[in-house]
Amino acid sequence: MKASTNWPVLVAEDNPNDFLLLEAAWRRAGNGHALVCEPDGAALLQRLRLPGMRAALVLMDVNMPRMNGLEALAEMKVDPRLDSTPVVMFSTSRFDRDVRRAYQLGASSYVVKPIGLPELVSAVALLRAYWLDLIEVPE
Amino acid sequence: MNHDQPLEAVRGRVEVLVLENNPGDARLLDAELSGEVLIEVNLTVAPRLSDGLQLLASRDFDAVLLDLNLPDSRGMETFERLRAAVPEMPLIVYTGIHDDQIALRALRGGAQDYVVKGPGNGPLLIRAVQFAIERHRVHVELELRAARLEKNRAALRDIVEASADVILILDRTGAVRFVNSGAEKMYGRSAVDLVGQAGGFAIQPGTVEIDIALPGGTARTAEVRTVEIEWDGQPASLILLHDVTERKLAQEQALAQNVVLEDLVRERTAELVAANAELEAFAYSVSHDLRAPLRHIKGFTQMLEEEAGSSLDRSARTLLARIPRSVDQMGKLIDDLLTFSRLGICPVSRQPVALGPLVAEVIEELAPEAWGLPVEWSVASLPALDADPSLLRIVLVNLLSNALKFTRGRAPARIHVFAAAGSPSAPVIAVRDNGIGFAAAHAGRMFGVFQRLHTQAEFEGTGVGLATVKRIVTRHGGRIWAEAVPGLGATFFFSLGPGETQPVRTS
Repeated sequence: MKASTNWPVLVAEDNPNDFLLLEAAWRRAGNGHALVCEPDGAALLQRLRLPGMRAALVLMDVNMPRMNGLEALAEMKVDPRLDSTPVVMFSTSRFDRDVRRAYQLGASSYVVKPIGLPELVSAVALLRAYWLDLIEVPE
Repeated sequence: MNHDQPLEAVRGRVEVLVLENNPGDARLLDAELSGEVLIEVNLTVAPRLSDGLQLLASRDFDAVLLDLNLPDSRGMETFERLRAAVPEMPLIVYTGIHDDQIALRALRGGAQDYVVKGPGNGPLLIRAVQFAIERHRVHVELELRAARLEKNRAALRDIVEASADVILILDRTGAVRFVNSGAEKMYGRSAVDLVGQAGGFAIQPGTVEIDIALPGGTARTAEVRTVEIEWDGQPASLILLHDVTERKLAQEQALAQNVVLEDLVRERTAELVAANAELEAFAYSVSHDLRAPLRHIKGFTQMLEEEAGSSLDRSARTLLARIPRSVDQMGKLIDDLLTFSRLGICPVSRQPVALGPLVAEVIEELAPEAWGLPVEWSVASLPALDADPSLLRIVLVNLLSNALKFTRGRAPARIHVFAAAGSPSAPVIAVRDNGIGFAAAHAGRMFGVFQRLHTQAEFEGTGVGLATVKRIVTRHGGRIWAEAVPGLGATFFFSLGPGETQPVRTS
């Protein structure tokens, strides 16, 4: 089935400025799918495990305190309720080690946050079109 | 005594002294002996012992035939006196006395033979003389040999004693049969005490290394070599013991030192590797952290432009527009610095790189930087270089984009890439442009970090490019330098240091 527009997109991001920019780009790029932000991996998992929570997509930053993006990703993949939720790493880190590790741990893809609003809007539009409008997710 | 055995040794002529006072007997003897063909016997007769003794003193004789009863001497006394006078002379008693006792005494006393006078004794006598002389010779020979043998033995003994090593001979039961002075020292006992005692050695074939506890408590290590020999006609073991304690100690010390050194090297290497990894992570996280605010500044500025731009006047909007450009500048600087810092520690993996194709690639990549203006590229035949391909690419990108930048005013811009004079193992690559050049005074400074010869308004740049190039070239063990004429153009030269492979000329 396609993701329902009611399902939120969860963002794991520790920097409020970055989230602000993302929100601005998100608004400009399309409708539906509220953005919900959690400041670290642990909080993200907690939110994901709330009864009734169904996320259309997780945008995961890599560098976060308490539990970073890769750790949170690993935990999601061993939790039967969360392992089929698409996770796109959305990070400033271009570090090859991070990229490789993310794919190894089962991330759906890895996107480096562009600098500049127009670029960010383009990237977000692409993400929306692909992950929310095009692909199928399990029931 | 077998008189019938032929003897080869005695031939030719023999001088025989005959002590015989009976002329008739003497004549008979002569007759008997002269007919002999095997050897020629020359007889000299002396009737008395004293005459005989005189003759013996003055002439050489091979043998003496003597009658025991002479006018001046009788019986065994004759023999004994003669024997005393010429102890080495073969003596044959030739007498009428038919007495076994006397015969026995004579023979025991050293007579070669005892023949009783009688007819037909000729051949017997000859034989007796022959045998006597031969036996005598053999005896002399044996004595000579024995003397020689004894000399050799003495010499060998000296060698054995002079040896600092321990030499032992043990019999089959392991008891000591012989020790040298070295052994005496080791055991702390004299040879006399040691012979017959248990050697305390397990007899092992070949060469082994053993530890010995010496009396007095010291421990030594020795190389023991065991050889099977015969001693006194019995199978025995010759044991040679060589003290290697010092050598072993030196060896162990050297080994221990090696281990220490190896440990040190390992430690240092680990430290270095860790330090490098730390630096890398640090550089990365620093640049990462520096970029975050840039991102925000740019993003919010652009949001501001979009959301509030319409309510701002022209000058305000112009001010706003400057902000993202500064941010980009900063971003590029951070990238350049990160690259530069990485170059100090990143591994350089060299391989043959064909320069020609690489230059062509970079020129295509840099096309946008020409800003659409005409550029005449001329690339000569270039050799292959032994270098890290990605690092070499950075060098070319920097040098060629610099050339593009500083020829922007020219119509056309001319950039020439060629191989200048250099050795086959270290070719010099040159990039020449017809741009604005620079003053010789600046030639040295140019390659420093953040060194710029122009304002940002004149030419963009972070001032890290040439420093980056220099660092890469240096890490390849090479050189970079530049020549220029202000207003006419500049040429940048670089060569790389020797690598493992020889570069091959290609076009």
